[in-house]
Amino acid sequence: MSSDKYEVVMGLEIHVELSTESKLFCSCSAKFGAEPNENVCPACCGMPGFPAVVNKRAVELGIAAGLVTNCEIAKVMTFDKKNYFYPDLPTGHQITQFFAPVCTNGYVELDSGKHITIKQIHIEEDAGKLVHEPRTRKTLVDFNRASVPLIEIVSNPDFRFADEVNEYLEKLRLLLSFAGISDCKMQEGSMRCDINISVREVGADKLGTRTELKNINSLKAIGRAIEYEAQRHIDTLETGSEKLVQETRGWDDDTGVSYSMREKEEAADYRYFPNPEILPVYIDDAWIEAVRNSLPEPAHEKFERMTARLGLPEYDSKIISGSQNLSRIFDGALECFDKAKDVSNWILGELLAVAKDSDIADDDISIDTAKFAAVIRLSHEGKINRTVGKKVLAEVLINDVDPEAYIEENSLGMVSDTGLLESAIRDVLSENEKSVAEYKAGSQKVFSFLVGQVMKKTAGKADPKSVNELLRKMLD
Amino acid sequence: MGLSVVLESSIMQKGLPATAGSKMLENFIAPVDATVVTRLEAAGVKISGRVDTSEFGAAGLFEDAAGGTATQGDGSLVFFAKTAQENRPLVLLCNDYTGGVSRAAVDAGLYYIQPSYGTVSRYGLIPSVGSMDQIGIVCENPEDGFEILEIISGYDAKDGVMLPNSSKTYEPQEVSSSFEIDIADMKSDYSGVYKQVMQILCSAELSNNISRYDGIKFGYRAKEYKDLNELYTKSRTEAFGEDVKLAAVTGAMVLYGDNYERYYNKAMCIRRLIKESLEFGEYDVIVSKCPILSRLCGLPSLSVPGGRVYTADALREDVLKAVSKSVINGNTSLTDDKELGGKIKAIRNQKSGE
Repeated sequence: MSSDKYEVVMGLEIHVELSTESKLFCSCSAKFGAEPNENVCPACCGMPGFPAVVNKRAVELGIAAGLVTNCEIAKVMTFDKKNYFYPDLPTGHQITQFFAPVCTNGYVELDSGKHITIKQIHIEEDAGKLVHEPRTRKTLVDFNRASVPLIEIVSNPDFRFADEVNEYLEKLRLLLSFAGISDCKMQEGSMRCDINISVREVGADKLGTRTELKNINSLKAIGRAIEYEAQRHIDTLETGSEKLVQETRGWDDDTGVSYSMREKEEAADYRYFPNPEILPVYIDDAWIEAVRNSLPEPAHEKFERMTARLGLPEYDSKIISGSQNLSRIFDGALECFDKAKDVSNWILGELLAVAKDSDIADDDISIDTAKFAAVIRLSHEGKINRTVGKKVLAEVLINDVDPEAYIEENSLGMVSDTGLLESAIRDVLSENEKSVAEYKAGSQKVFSFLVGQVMKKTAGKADPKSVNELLRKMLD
Repeated sequence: MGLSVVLESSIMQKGLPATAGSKMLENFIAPVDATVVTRLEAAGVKISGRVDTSEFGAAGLFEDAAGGTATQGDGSLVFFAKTAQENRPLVLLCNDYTGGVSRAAVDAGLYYIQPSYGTVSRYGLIPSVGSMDQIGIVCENPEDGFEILEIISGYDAKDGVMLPNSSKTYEPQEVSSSFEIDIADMKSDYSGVYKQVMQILCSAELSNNISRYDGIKFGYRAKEYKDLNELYTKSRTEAFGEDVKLAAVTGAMVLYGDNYERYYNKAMCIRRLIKESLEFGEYDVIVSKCPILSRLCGLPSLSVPGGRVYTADALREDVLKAVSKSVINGNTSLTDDKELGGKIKAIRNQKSGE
C-alpha cells in the first residue's frame, strides 16, 4: 500500500449497539453478558403472534447519533424487512431501515480538517449468536442478542489511509459514548466495523473492484487488515494472474491473513420491502430539539472548557475529557469542591492508582462524587495528609464509607499537636543518635530519614509540615 | 351474556395448540392469550371451541390461478364452526384477509363483519399478511356480531398499528331503515385489478411472515437432513401445503430484484390509488359483491347473505350496523341484486343525507 502508483479507497460500515434498557421491539433486557437465552421472550425468538412495538428510546438514540455526526434527521422514517435465512435470525428476516433511514448526509471532521462524509445512519435489530460445540459437533443458538437495537453508520468511500480509518473510529467512539448512545466496546461486539476496500491507479476516476472485510475486532487489527488487503489487491492487479472478485472476506488476526467468506454474486438479493406491520415514525422539530437538549457536552467542548476556562494542563484535560466516566466524576466532584486543579490531580493521581490496585478499569470506576470531593477538601484543608487521603479514598471507592466518619472512627486525623509531635521527635532522636550525629556533621540526607521515622511513629498521621519545622528546631 | 364464540386456530389461547391450520405448527402450543381472548373472558363470553383454518388463511388467494379448487378450506371452516357451536347462534372470530371466509359465510346464510384496520388487536394472532391481518366476525345474527365487536375492539399497546382513537361503541346516531341505492359512478373503477393486487401483496407478505418457520426453533422439523439447507427445504416442503407454497414462491418472485418495481411497488401504488379514489362524500356505504376492497383499504365492511358487501368509511362501523338492521327488516333496495351486476355502486342513507 506504500506504492505511489496506487491509491487505496475505503468506506466504513459501522454497527453500534444502542444503550437501551430493552430490545428494539419487545421488553426483554438488552444487556450484554447474560446466560444464554436468558433475555428472550416469544417475540424476539421469532414466534408468531407478537406484533412489533417500536422502542422509542432507540429512535431517540438514533436521532442523537445523527446530531453528533452533523446529519440531517428524517421527518418520517420507516422500518423495512430484509429477507434471508440463517439460524441466528429467528424470524427469517431482519427489521432494518432501507427506504427511509433516520439520518442522512452527515460528517465527522478529522484533525486535519478533512471531512469523512456519512451517507446514512439506520436503526436495525441485531441477530442472535451461534455457538459451535466442536466436541459434540452441534451448533447452539443464543437469542439474547436477537432484536437488540443497533445503528449502522455508513460512510462514503472517503478514506485513503489506515490512519484516517483509525482516527474516524476513535472520534466516532468518543462522540457516541459521550452522548450515551452506545458504550462502543469492540471486544464485546457493541461496536463492529466492516471495511469496504478497493485500489485504483492514482488519478483514476473509477473505483476498483471492492472487497468487504469483516470480523475485525480491535482497533489494532484494523491497520494490519487494511495493509494486508490493500497489498493483496495491488499484487493481484500487478501480476494479473487472477481477477479480483467482489466478495466478503474475513480477517484472521492470528495469522494476519484475510480469507474469502462468500462471493457477493449478482444474485444476492434480500427482497427488501416496507414493513407493513410498523407504522412510519414521524419526527418533528420539537422532538429533535428535546433530544439535542438532552445530549451531554461533547468531548472536544469539554476539553476546551477544561483547558481554556479552568486552566488545566492539556495532558490532564485530554485524559479526563477522553473518558466519559472520568469526565462524569470530574464534573461531579467539581460541583462539590470547586478547585479544578485539585480535583484533576486527585483523579489522575490517587483515584486511578487506587482503582488500579483493585483491578477496576477506568471506565468502570463508580464512586460517590460528593464523598470523593470531601476527601479532596479534607486534604486541601490540612485535616488529613495525602497518604491518609489515599487510604480513605480506597475505602470510599470499595466500601462507600463516609470519609469524615471513617477518619473520626479510625482516628486518622492529622496530628499537628505540638506537644504530641515533640514527644515523638524526642523518642526518634534518642533512638537514632548516629543519624543525629551525621546530621550535625552536615549530612542533609539523614534529615528526611528522621522525618520518615517520626511519620512512622505517628502511624502516618502527622502533619509533615509541622514535623519538618519542629524537627529542625529541635536539631539545631 | 349468553353468547359464546368459536375461534379460528390462528387466535392464541394460552396452553392450547395454535396451528393456523398448518402442519408446520401442529405441535405449537400458544404461549399467551390473544388480546381478544383476554377481553372476551373479561366480559364473561364463553369460548366454546377452536376450528382449523385453511393453512394461514391462504385458501382462495389463488383460486383463479389454481382452477378454483382451493376454497375448500374456508367453506369447511364455517361448517366446522357451526358444528362446534351446536344449538347456539354462531359467532366465529377469524382473520379473513382474502375475503374467502366471508364468501363462504354468506353462501351458508351467515353474515360477516370486517372491522376497520387497526381497531381489533392482533396480539396473539398468528400473522399472515400484516397490512391486512384483522380479526373479523362470522355471525348468524349481526346484532350478536356487533356486540362481540364492541368487546374485542379498542386500543391495545401491544399492537403497533392500532388506531389510538379506535371507538368502542357502534351505536348509530340515527338508525334509518330506508337506505336507497343512489346509482353514482365511482370516479375511477379499479375493480378489474383487485385480485391481482391482492395476490401480489398477500403473497409477498405471507412469504415473508412464514420465513420464521424454518425447523430450527419450533414447529415441524424434517426427520432426516444432511445439512442446514436441507433442514430448511425438507422441513418446509414436508410441512407447508400447496396454497402456502405457491404464495411463498410468488412472494419471493415479486420482491426479487427488478421485480420489486415491476410487481410489488406497482401493486402498492395501485392500492394507494384505490384508497384515494374512495371518496364517500355524501354517501355512507359502497355496495358491491367484492370483499377485497375493504381488505385492500383497511375499511370496515359487512357481507350479507346473498353476497352483497357493504363497505363504509374507516371507523364507521355504526353505519354498517344500521345497514344490517335495514337488511334484516327486508329493505329490498338493499337486497335486490338486479341493479348491481357485480360493479361498485354507492348508496346513501337518506336520513343522514339530509
